[in-house]
Amino acid sequence: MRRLELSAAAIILAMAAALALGTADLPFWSDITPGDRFVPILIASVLALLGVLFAREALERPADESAPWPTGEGARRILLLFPLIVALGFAADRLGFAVAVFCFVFLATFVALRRSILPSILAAAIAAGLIQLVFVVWLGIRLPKGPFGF
Amino acid sequence: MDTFGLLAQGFSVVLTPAGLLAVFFGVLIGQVVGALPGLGPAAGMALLLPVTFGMDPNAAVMMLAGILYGGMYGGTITSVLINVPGESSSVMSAVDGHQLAKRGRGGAALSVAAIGSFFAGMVGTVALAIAAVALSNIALRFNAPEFFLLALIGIVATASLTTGSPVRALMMGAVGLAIGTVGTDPISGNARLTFGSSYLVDGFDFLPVAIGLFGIAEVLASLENTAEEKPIRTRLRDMWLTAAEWAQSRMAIVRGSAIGFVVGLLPGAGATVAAFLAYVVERRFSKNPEMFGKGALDGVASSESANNSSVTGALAPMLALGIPGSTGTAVLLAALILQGIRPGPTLMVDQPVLVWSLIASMFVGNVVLLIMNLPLAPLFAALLRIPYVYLAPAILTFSLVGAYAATMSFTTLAIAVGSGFVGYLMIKADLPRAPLVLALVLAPLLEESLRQSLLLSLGSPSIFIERPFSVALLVLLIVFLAMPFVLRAMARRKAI
Repeated sequence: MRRLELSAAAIILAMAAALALGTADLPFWSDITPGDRFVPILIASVLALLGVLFAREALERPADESAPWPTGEGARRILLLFPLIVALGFAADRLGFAVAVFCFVFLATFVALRRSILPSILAAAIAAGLIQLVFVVWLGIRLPKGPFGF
Repeated sequence: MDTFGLLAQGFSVVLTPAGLLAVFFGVLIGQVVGALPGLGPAAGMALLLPVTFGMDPNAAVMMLAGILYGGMYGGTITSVLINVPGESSSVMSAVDGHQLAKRGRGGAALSVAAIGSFFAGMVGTVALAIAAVALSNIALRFNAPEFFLLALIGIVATASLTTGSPVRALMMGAVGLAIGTVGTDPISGNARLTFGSSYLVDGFDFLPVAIGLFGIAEVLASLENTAEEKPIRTRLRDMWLTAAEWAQSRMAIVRGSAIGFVVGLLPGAGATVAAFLAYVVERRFSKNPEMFGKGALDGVASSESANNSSVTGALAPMLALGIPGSTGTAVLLAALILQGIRPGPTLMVDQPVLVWSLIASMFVGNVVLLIMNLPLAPLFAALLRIPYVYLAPAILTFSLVGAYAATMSFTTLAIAVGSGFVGYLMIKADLPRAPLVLALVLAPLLEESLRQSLLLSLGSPSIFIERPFSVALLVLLIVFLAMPFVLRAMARRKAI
């Protein structure tokens, strides 16, 4: 847990640095009014201060306290679901949303969540159908279509 | 037009086929979302937000608000019947409600929760109408310094009233503000922190971030462990309360409703704090305090009434000031902005139909929810038998398609997926997500009002102590900022 929190503190400090450096070419104050850099610098200062306080809190925590990462089956599910979600984004552009959603739900249910094949196909078909019904038919949104025309 | 005239106008919008459908679907979705462990009303609202784009603004806001308060009702069923709180605000109900269910009085627990929630919802809505009008009249005198301080209070209070470390919550608020500075400068119009990317010129949209942080992250976290608990069966005839049970619960409902509404008015306190506080207070008033934790019906009544009225209370600062006090109201505020409506103190004057139809819809919605949770409770309980693992992938796809549909851009989809990943890590690192989302919504108001204030005062910060309203808000801000640290120091001293 301590390592995870210290990593988070490091990200926060990096974010504060990015705010300060990323606005270096903008004015902090112009004539009588705050410039474009004024608020980012204020936020960067607060972020840096809180990042340090958070790191101190983490260091005060017992070192043996472990982070609540999933183990076993839970970890396997999460490790499979993340790439599947990313793949859904890529596949939607090429195969169309209906096919991509069907494939995602089927793989998520059958492979990642280890359900039987028939209920997984049924769940995938219902999800793809619902997406078409709500977004395409009801809301009239033109979702990307694939080679099959839907 | 007087308040009753405006309310009547609101009812004329609600009591149309389109209005009734919006309310019905809103509360139905809220009921289902509330019952699903791991998916809260804020996540449900964020997921459904893209669906409301093509809708009439009144219907869209009524539907989203229905999800917000409907979610409070839904959380009870899972808490009582399978001892898994659908919502963090239903934890107290899980403690006592499930014990009652084990003794065969689960129906009574569901019944008292539904009646308490209904009473709290109705009384809370009346109080909301009064409080929103009063707050709005005061807020019409506010200027840039007051708005800056109000926005800051919105973020700081969320951190101050959090149950965990205030440093973490404040830090997440600052992260939300930092993300809010990316894009185009609100005063000069110059590109800022875009690092040369044209995708970042418009900044980070609230919607994909909320969908990722709440929807995707929560579904993933809930899929880590999907042990399927069999719900305890409940029948309609089990839902009748005995005279003794009613006598035990009725004042708990009244007290819980009052506590919940007041807590809801405070920015950042939320339904969980309200439910917990009402439960603790009820224990003091109860004739059987020893039963708390072992199946106290008055415990269920007070906490369920409180979580419902707190949701209604939280709407008052959102409607009157344009300051969301909770994640759910932040999503509702975002919905207004997406519909082209500018929230703030003039909302009640500029958009009376929208505000009063929302208030009127809450009366109707609570009646619908009472029907769903009394005679139809066994039906919703039966829905719990559908394994969550079949629903979760469908919810994920709905989130992703919704994020894409908001802008028809794969960049938005990528932001939602990225936010989902970050949200999951935040859950693991025990970093609160609500302050981040609230700060992201409030960032433009905060920056604009701060810079306008300093422009008005020719750069002098004394403008924040020159007006009585801003002095009062400044004092409140200092109290919220100092409170968690003082309380922690006192607790440490007590421990020594």
